[in-house]
Amino acid sequence: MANKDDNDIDLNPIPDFPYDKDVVEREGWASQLGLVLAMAGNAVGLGNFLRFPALAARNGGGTFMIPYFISFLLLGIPLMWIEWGIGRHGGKYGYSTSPGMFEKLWANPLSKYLGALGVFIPLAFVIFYTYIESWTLGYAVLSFAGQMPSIAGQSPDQAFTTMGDYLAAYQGTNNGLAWSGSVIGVIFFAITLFLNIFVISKGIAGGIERMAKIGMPLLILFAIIVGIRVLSLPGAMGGMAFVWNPDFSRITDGAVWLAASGQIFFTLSLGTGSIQTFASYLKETDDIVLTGLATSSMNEFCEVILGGSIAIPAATAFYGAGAATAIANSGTFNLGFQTMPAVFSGLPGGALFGGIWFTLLFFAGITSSLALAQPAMAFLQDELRMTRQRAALLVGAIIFVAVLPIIMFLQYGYLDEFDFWSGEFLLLVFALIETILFFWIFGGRKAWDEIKQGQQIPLPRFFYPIMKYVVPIFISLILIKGIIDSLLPRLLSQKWVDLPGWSKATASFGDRVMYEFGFHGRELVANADIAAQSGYRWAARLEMIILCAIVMALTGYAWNKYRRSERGGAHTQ
Amino acid sequence: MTVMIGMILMFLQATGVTTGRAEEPLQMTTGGWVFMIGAWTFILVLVYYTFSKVLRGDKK
Repeated sequence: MANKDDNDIDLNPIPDFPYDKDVVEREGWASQLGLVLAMAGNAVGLGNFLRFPALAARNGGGTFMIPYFISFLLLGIPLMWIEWGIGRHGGKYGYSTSPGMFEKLWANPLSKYLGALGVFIPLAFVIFYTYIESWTLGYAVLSFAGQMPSIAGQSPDQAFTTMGDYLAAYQGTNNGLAWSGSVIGVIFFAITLFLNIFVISKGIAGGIERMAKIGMPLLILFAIIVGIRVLSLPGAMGGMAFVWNPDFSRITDGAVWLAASGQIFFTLSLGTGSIQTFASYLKETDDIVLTGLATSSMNEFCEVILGGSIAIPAATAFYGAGAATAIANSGTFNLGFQTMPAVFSGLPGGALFGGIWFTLLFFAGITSSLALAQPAMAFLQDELRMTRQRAALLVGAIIFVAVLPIIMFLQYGYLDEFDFWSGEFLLLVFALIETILFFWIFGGRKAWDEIKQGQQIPLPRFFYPIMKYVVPIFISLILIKGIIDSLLPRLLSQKWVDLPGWSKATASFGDRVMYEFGFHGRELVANADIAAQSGYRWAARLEMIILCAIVMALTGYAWNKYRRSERGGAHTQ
Repeated sequence: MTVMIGMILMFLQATGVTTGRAEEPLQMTTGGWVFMIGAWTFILVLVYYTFSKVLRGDKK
């Protein structure tokens, strides 16, 4: 337990301002298991089943697991504890979102605006994520109803094309118009959005926790059923070999280590702001060390054991071993919505297994989207004093309006821009900010004691320097790499191309390091595809900027109207 | 630290022999089984350890 004299930690659960319980009632979790399942539901998403196996296969198979697990121990779990710690600390003072949490860590007017990123990022994320989630619901229903196209008599390549055309029809990108969208796609999006809003309107224990208790066991059950079916296919073990056979030459590739650490970061849903919000509903004495570890381990179970045993083995069994590399490189969406439907369409009982596959993806998606929507919900309830139902309706309305351009301009990179900024880049920025605030400005000792408070299992001492030094360095390196590899080319409508004669295999160590950071062996050249979409991509960025500005303005408004008056004019202690 | 290890290993690779997995047949090798069973065991033990404590905590 923290020593208050030494560390000046206020462990008093009573907030430091007169909190109006009639207007804003703090919610809570009904059980520790429910909390863990909800947190795991937040982490387990489409990437567990589609991104991870392809990434592992491309980056050395079994040997990929070495940097993967080291990153899990040195980046994933420590950052998970940091976010839980910030959330529970803020919850003591009645804060459920990061503007207030950050202000309690750093008594500076700027802190709440930095924290506003923790409301904006998950809101922008959930806008496009709900749309993708609706594809899984639509495909699940269409599969169960036997409405997926038949690929009888087609070669694997033809089947892939057939499924690609079907996906384009579902998305409405082949309607011959300047904008995309199909009736069936919009209907399933509306149903998905309604389900999300309905669940979050029921609150933490009655909505999100109950959904997690139903959704997570069903997801695991469905994944086991599909996994057993897939591994019983002739040739499926070739896919397992593709995922797991070690390529020891790749273990020395720095890019593989960065890919592994990036995957750990994204798979645990770090940097979204949703973990802090969930953790804010904990009691002061509740453990976060064990529950954070349980959440992470559940995510790894779903990713490595279940996710690694379905998509790539199924695709390899269907397309053959020779196509394994192309399948792994085909991208998450192609693997999930073209390759897998083709595989199931070719199976006896394929409609059933296809339906189960997409239902499990839907559960993975909805448990994540609920978590992403909750920071905005909590912000409206806590900071703007809205009722839960009104806040849910407003969040639903924002998502509905904001997603329309994403649906209409899908083929022009609009969704891709949302995905990059709110689903990748800003997560790293936010994670770096919160780590520095917690361990460097708030104070390493106080942060450490906050995390250990109520611990049910011992927290090894060596995690302290990891959290203080290794985690921010780790995130910074991934961030710098992301700026060089993705952000700069994206903004400049360019792409990286290796220089003639460049070979990673024969380059010196120094040259290879310089290559990774863009100073040697490659150059930026014009990217005609991105340049042609430039207007739409800037429109997407403008939409996100407007959304961010609104969240920032509401933060300032809330502080002036409520927080200041509650404290007699003082923003912070 | 992981990145530092990566840098060191990059150096080792730059001075070593490179092998390609593409030429190998797609059958589980001994190494594949070792990595798969090792990773699965690590995760299952972690899940069992943490969830047994979580469930015990809820019963109290």
